[in-house]
Amino acid sequence: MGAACVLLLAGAAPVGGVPAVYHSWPMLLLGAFAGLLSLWGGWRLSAGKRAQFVVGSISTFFVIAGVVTVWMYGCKAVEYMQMGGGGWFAALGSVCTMVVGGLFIIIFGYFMLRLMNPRLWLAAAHVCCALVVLGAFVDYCAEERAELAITPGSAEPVTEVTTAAGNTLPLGFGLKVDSFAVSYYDDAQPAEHLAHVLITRQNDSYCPYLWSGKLWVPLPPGHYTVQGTKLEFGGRTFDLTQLRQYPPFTCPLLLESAPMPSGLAAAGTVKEYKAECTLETQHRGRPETRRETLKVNEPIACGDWRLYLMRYDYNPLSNTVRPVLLARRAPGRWFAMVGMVGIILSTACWSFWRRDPAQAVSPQPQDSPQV
Amino acid sequence: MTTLVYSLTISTLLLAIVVVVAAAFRKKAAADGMLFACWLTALALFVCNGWMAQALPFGNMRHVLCFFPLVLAPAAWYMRRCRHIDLMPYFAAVAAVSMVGALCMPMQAAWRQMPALQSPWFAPHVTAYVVSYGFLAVSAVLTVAACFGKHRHARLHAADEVVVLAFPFLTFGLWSGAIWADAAWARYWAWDIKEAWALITWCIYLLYFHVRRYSAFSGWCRPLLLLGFAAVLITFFVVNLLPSIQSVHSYAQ
Repeated sequence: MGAACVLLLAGAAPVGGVPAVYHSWPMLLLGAFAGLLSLWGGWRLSAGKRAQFVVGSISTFFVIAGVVTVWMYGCKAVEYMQMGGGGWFAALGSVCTMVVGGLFIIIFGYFMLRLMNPRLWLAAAHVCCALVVLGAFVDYCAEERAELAITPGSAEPVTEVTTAAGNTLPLGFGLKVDSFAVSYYDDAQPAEHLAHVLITRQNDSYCPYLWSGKLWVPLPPGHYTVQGTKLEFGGRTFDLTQLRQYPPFTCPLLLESAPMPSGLAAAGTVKEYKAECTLETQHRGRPETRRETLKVNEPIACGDWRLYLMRYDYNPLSNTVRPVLLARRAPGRWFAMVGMVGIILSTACWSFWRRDPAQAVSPQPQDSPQV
Repeated sequence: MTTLVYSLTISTLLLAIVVVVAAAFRKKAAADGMLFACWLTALALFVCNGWMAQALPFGNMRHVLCFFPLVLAPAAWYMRRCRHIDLMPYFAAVAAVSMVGALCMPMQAAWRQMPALQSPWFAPHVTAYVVSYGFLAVSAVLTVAACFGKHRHARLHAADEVVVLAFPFLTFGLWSGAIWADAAWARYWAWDIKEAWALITWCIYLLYFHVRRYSAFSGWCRPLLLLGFAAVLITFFVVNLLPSIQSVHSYAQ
């Protein structure tokens, strides 16, 4: 633990810290060592009561599963009730599942309370630390992440992603973004923001420029095409016959301005942004379509992948805004999640239920010593 | 409204000081009454901050410092009723110090929650950390007080009891943050400097729990408690306020 603190300090020192140490092999080695030590600690603490510990841990797992089931299906039941009509039957089904979750909590909760004691809770906390380390290592080896920027309204679904390492992986489903919306707090006056394009002609060549906010930036030659009297780039077409001479400028100019996409014209604090997505999957050989709303803090799960809404990008070339999603496949995630929830629960139970036999006789409240 | 907020902050501070003085003179009934009044003013301050921010008032350091007395007062009563240790002056002293800190922070009338903060984990995560930091501050004060005067052993024992209560909240704050980050940032641990320092703090107190069982290492307990609190101060103040630090947790900036 002391070595872990030293390595953590080396990376986190406010001045001169080297965060790269967190991704180095000593950290990996220390993590593996910590996981094994935690497992050994749990083994030692549960000595003589291993069967009780295993059954108690399994009961705890089912209690947590019951709590999660009650919560998730309770939220779904409320959603279905709000839909009305046939939603009431779906709500009824969700309530039945909630009842099953509640029974899990009651039955396995009874076993959990009877079997677990503070020492075994401490053992569980150690085992859960090892689980977290295991999940982290599995993800370190096998996690796949890929960012994808999808234009809203595009007809072709995205079926594969490319990771930062250049690997192309199939998603196993088709993903489309039907629409994307940004909303703001009303803490600023909406301003008319325009995207400016300037086209000039020098000798026989045309060159478009984009306004960056501070200066005009020329477009590289490969980013636009000239066909006859039309210049095209980023899905926009400009009529080159409209170039005019404006003294004192020596070359003819064409200046066009278009409003920025809806949602970007108002300056202010972003309140929310969300993407309406369509997922095209296969269920028992038949195509299935699922519509989901993707928001920050609310990722969508489909198959092995989870889709997160990370941010959105404004593309001045095409004057469009695109949500940036992240597709992630992390097989170790469940181990880490179970471990984290287990650590929280075990530590709380150990702390609040612990009883020291040597201090079993406690004084009356009016006799509480003032220290 | 700004005047009201400042008035409530100063009132909470003065009441906390009165609690400390009353407890020092063994006037328990007066101390109890003043602590309850302190809690009421802290509650009113919390409501005013929320009204001004038009959101849960956890957006900046002043909001969080104003939240300390609201959790420390019930904690003092819990320690006396359930753990049978009267630590009222220590909790009141920490609440007073937090109010001094709140007075030193700039007043930001409006605070807008970014999309990443709009999560059901936000309130429990911040609350757990505030409770744990309050407890750990009390344990640090007790550890320092154990170096002077009488009741040294009792004060160390009380510090240990407080840390045992603080640790689950610290654990919840740390790991709930990781679970939340998994939903918001697609990564439950990003080695952000705030996260790293939170982990350092947790590891130091973890080390304390492993060391305190062995008499051979009994001399390490007091320094570890103080080192752990130093880590808390760095996590809570230095990482948030040092301009050169770039962190995804610097929403208040």
